[in-house]
Amino acid sequence: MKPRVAIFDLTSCDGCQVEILNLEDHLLDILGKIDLVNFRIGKEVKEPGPYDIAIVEGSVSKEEEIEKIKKIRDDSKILIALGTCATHGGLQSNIHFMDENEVKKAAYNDKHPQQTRDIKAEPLSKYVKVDYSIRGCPIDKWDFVKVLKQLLIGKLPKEDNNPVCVECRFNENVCQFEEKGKCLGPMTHGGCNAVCPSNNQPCDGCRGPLEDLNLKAGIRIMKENGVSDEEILKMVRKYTGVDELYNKIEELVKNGNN
Amino acid sequence: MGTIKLDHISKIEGHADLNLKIEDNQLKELSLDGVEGARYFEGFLKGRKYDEVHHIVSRICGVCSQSHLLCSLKAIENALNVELTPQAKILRKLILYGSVLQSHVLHLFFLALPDFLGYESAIAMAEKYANEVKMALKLKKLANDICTTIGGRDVHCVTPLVGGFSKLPEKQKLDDLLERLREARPEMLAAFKLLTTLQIPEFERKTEYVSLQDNNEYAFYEGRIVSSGGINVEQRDYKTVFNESVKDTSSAKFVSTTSNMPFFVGSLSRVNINYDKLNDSAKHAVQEAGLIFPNYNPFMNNIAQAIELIHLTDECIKLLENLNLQQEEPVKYEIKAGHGIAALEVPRGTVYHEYEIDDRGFIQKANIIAPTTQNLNNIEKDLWQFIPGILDKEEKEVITEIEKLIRAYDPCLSCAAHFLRLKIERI
Repeated sequence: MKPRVAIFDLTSCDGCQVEILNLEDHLLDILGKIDLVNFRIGKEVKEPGPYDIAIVEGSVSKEEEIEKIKKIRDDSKILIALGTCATHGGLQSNIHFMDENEVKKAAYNDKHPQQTRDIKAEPLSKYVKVDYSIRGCPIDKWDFVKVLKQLLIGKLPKEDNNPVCVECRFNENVCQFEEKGKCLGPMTHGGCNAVCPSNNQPCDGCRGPLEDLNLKAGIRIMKENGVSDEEILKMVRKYTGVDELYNKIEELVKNGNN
Repeated sequence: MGTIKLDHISKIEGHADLNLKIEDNQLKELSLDGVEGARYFEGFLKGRKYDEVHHIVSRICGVCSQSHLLCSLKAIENALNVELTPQAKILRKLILYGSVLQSHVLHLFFLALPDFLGYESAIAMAEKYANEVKMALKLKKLANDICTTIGGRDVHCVTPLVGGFSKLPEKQKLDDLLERLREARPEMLAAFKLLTTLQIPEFERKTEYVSLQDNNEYAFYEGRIVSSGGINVEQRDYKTVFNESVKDTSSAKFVSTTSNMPFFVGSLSRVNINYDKLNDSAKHAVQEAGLIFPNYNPFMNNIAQAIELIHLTDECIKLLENLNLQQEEPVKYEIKAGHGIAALEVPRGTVYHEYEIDDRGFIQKANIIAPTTQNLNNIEKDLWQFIPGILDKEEKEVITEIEKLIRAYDPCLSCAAHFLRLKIERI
């Protein structure tokens, strides 16, 4: 029997689901292998659980989304976080490091809508157990295919623990530390084919920090290259600042080379 | 009769609620609300550096990421007095056209067409309409490949930056695109013809149509803000013609003209206002199908999108034929305090970005008006007129027809902040 797969979205830009639709040449093949029972942006009929695989995009940013993700977890054998909003809160997690009132005022000019019972954006893992994370803002669609293939043969995929630098070398790129003096590549999970450095842009860390990252060294090199403390903090906190591996970042940046 | 509550309406981008109150078969209350979690982009931009704005605003919406990315770059370049090279402008236009093509194909074939053919999804449609679905996927891929080739990635492009591009595309890849676009011409025409065979609901409500207008071409990248109601101002004066308001029940803001009128933006507005600027192939297709513009049926927005498929395919071909790609660096500029405003025509209408930058290049203030926020008032007005005419139908049919009308606008509430749960209360 084909596995029952459900795709859900919480608060996000829908871009990771768009990346799934962007698998144009392979989309019909994929749909032939699964029973897609829930996919709001692509289909009308929604079937209730249980699901074999739930794939969830977006951060938990409203009170009702806490209940929603818990229900999805209860209904699903395997829960996959899809993209940076789901794995780390994403861009909207910036609110953890800013003055909440100022941020809201800038967006809604003092007249903040009452009904949006919003909470500070959090990754899914804050509220439920996540079985696997497909990283990236947006995800790499081939990464999604790889993960789905493994799940279809009954395996839970294992993630490589390589920095972006590995793929950057394969692509024979000039190091962005040389070009721009800054890059989060050495501290960040690869798997994106180093898409930013390969296009002559520093990695901005959307896939989240590596478990064994050398944060001290990364910060030291950027500081030596004249990148300001403020800029380093903002780079690190752009998409995945709530990751606990970044808990001491402020201290580290301020203490510099110690 | 109690209350009927539907879950978030499907096949639209983002989340919204529609609440209806019906007494004695009369529509008494109607409220359309964006319920997407608020994401406060204008707030996050404050204190960010001018050169990361486009990457941040790209994340407003995954369906039209290029719209926000390109409009913000234009606004920042406007603030810093950066004049792009002609080549960079052509490459920006190609990304914009590619992104409009991609979004239109996605909306027409995967979100709207199943409605009209009576399927719950394109997936369910794929068996009987295998050729059409495969054709749509092929055209979508082509459109995405334009963005990937030039922008480095389909969703959230990497290469565009203030002053130009961090990396230019390979000439061979552009030649391949040109070849594929030429091959796709008959398919775009076939897509248009298929859509014109659909039964478009008979409904008319004349409203104000707003779009950019350019003397030289069918406006997407440049032009004055023009409306059927007499608005005609420069982009920098957008605030003199529009009002933004916040509704307590919605995370999406609402926009009206300063004379307090709801208005329409998107493909139908563009075709209504700029019909004479469409290229020959698009005009020819319109004439052959016997269509007449201006048209006041919002459902015709679908057809207007299909017209733009034909138009933009030929425009991309023209741009690529005349592009003699040279290696060039981004334009040099000085960081200084400034104030920049820009507008673009993007898949769902006109988008506006405005930034104030301090002398170190940090954003002091940002204002973004996405197309869907501009259409929300107009959708509400349409529904007020549309719903009474269908209330004698079965509940399920009422809902389907309402959804069709809303989807015709191709609303994207990720952009608007923030789509659709339907609650009908019958007393």
